Amino acid sequence: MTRMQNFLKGLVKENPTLVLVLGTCPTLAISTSVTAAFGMGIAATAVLICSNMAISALRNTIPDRVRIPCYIVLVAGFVTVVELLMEAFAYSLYQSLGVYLALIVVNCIILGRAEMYANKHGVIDSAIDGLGMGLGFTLAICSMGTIREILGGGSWCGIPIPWFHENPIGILTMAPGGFFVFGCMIALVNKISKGKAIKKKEFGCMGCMLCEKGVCGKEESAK
Amino acid sequence: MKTVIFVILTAAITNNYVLVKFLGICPFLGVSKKLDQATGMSIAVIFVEVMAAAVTWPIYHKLLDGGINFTYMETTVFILVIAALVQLVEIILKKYIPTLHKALGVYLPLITTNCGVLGVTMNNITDGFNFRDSVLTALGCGLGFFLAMVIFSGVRSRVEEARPPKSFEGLPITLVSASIVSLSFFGFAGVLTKIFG
Amino acid sequence: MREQKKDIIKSIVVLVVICLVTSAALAIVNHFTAPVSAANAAAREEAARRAVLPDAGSFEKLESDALPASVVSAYRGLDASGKPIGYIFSISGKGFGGTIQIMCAIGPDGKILRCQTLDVSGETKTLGGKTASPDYTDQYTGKDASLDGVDAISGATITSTAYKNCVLDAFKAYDAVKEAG
Repeated sequence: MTRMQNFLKGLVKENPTLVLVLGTCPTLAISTSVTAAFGMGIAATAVLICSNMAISALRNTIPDRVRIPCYIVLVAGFVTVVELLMEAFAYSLYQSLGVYLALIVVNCIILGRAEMYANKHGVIDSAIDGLGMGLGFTLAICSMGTIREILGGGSWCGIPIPWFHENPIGILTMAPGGFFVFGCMIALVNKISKGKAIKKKEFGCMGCMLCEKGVCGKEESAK
Repeated sequence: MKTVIFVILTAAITNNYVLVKFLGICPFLGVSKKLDQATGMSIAVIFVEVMAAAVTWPIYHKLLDGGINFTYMETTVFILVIAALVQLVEIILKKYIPTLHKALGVYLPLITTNCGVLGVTMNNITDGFNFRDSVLTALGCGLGFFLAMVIFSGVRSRVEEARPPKSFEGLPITLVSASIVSLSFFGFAGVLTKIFG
Repeated sequence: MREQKKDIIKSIVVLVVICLVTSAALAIVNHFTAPVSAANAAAREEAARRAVLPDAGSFEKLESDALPASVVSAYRGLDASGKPIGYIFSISGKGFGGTIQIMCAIGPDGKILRCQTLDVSGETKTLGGKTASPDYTDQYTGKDASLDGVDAISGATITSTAYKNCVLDAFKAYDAVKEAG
């Protein structure tokens, strides 16, 4: 796979949020405002690139039996660095992200890419994979944010938009709205890709690293 | 007694972690298809959440926030504690209740990445609860997770029989159903405050 | 058997080393960012105090055991000649989606001079979040402890009630400190 293909797959074909359905928690929670969504996306991308690179660099050193705790410690470390930097230099973003910033550490995208890609490929390739996936996540969460902020709050990035500002559909900025918009977006992706995007029968965290090797994909028989 | 019930019910219903706070969505969407799996997973989650809250609260307040300020280690230490607890639960289940262990199978290690577990331990610190309320809130959150899972597996079994538009089949229609269930939980917010407040 | 033991020891060593290196790295980053964060927080507090009591020349921190538990900080505002012109209380309470924090300036006559919302990021933006705007907070100016005529935001009962309770706590705090002059 060329470097360009590696980068682009994270954006569209294997978009972590809309196709692989990973990292749904922050997507639903932070997409009420585009500025916050963008901040979350960039923070997650930064952590993703750094952790992919670190794990790839250490892939031959970390023994298999402790790889999960090791990955967790490394990811937690990068997340904490982002937390500390944000608290010092971007406080309002830090406030709007709340606990979800720290929750990047259990974001399936990060742990999933570590397991699926970083521990099998070189440092540069892993970094590109991280960049692509992170930007794909950012793209998805910002699109959702745009829909929810314009229709639900009548603004975009805090700038009020004429007609929408007077007629907001408040429910879209709350929990039910989040589920609804997310569902519609995935339906849209399905429609556009004419069903080719429905790769996985079981969705969500089944793609996650903690699936025991070989069991994933065989969940039907395991039940 | 009244406060105890209030804390538990608030965590379980008004601030339901899955349907209101968006924590624990991955297992919620992945495991709620069959009722027995949903039940098994929820019980494991309740156990891990309560234990995690009980262990992380003293760690934060005595170690991290004690003499020297180590609060920046919160994220790392908490997630390690949770990972260790999940391992422990797995070992215990394998030894003493092998049938449940087999039934949960792959879902058990997934509890480590359940945003809800790390979320409840961190929220307990941010909200400034004392030890008793922290553990009760964790219990309530686990119960809320259980409630959401059970309700939703019922909804999903109906949705399976329905015929949505082609592009909505599978995950999208599940999410739309989730949005309606979430809407129903909003009604409870005022009820509890009126009864106990 | 010896292979396994060597394996286990290597695993533990690697894990411990990674933990130590990560902790050290975090300690270093924290060393640089903590003073910046603290300075920013202090500056924000100072700016908020100036916003609720613009005529004050300086602020004097107050400590008292009689303050309600929800009081985060209490200050006495002094004018240029050192005379007290008001009391400022920073109160935190439980809103709908999390903690809310407000700042209240109460004048020597026992009436509110100004209320300012510090943090309602946990509330729903289009409902409880409206308590952040001056349209809501301005209605508190001039009110006394009975809070007659303060309207809640429709659709945001929990946030509005929490806000009101915080303001009432500010009055309780005022009663606690005003004797001290």
